[in-house]
Amino acid sequence: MTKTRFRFFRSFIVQFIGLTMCSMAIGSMPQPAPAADDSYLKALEAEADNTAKVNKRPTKKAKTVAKKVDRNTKFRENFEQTLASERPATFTFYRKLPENDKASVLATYQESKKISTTSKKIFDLYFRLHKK
Amino acid sequence: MQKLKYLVYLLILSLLPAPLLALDVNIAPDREYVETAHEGKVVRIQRIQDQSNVLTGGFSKTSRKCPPFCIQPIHVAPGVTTVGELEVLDFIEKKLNAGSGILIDARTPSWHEKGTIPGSINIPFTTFSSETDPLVLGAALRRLGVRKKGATDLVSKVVNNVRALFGAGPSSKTWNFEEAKDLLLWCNGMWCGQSPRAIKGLLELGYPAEKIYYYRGGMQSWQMLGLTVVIPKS
Repeated sequence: MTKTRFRFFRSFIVQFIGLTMCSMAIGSMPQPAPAADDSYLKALEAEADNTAKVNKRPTKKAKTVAKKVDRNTKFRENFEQTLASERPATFTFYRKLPENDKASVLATYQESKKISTTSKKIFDLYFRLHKK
Repeated sequence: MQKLKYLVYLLILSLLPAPLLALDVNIAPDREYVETAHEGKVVRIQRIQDQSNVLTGGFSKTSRKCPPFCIQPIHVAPGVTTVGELEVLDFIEKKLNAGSGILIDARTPSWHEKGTIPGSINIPFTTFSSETDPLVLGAALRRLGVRKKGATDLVSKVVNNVRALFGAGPSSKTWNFEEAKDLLLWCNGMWCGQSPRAIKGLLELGYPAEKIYYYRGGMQSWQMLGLTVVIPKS
């Protein structure tokens, strides 16, 4: 009986050590990346490149609109710089106007080309806004 | 007389409260913008004010080959919360800016460099896969507030290797998530699987699901609403 038990435990220990060594060997081996992940990454990079190309091809209309927006932006920037330097208090109230009122102010400046006339417009719009 | 009139205006108006909202196109009736830091600078997240602005470029496409670019489900995994833009902005204000949350752009670098949501850090979804180098994974997890548990002994190594034999990844016995931050992951949009893959990878590592949020709308929705995008310098 004792011999049998001894053989049983010896074989168990040998198997356990074998399993341990095998699992450590397998665990340390580099695993190949699944092919599905590689193809997904390739598809992602291709789509990223494609997106870049699409972004670099603005239409003729988009270019014209972009130029117009650029001109308007520069006009607005020039006006705001002038107002800020000549009438800083008035500029503070101008900044608090909603965008459509600001557009109206810019139109006034474009027509009159006078800061004094435009300042009056700013106060009229601001005061009307608060009267509501 | 005119000058006197304007002086009176100035005096009176300086005492009046400013209007609550100065923008025409707001985020919400009571919200114009949200501020956060990106690459060391303050960035204001607001909507494009030009009401004739339209989306151009890649994010205006309606269709991409599926697979691999298939529509993603609303619920990415049990316990993970799916959010929209307002929740992303709340996260930025209350968690990101407070240091308890991280906004993750889970896309590959080639996507990230085209533009990202302000406040985001780029951790590509591949970082959380089982094939990632342990050093790379460790560094990424440390950024998220995750720490490695004590040195594993021989028995733990055997257990993990036997688990790997049967397809199971490393367990939360490896990582300590007690100080893990709340994460909000996003990618290109409803057709993008990058952030869902990142989320699944994190869950497999043992990251608590209740600390993970998924912005399904991604860059597609973000741009559709005219919200601020920053081009990373790094």
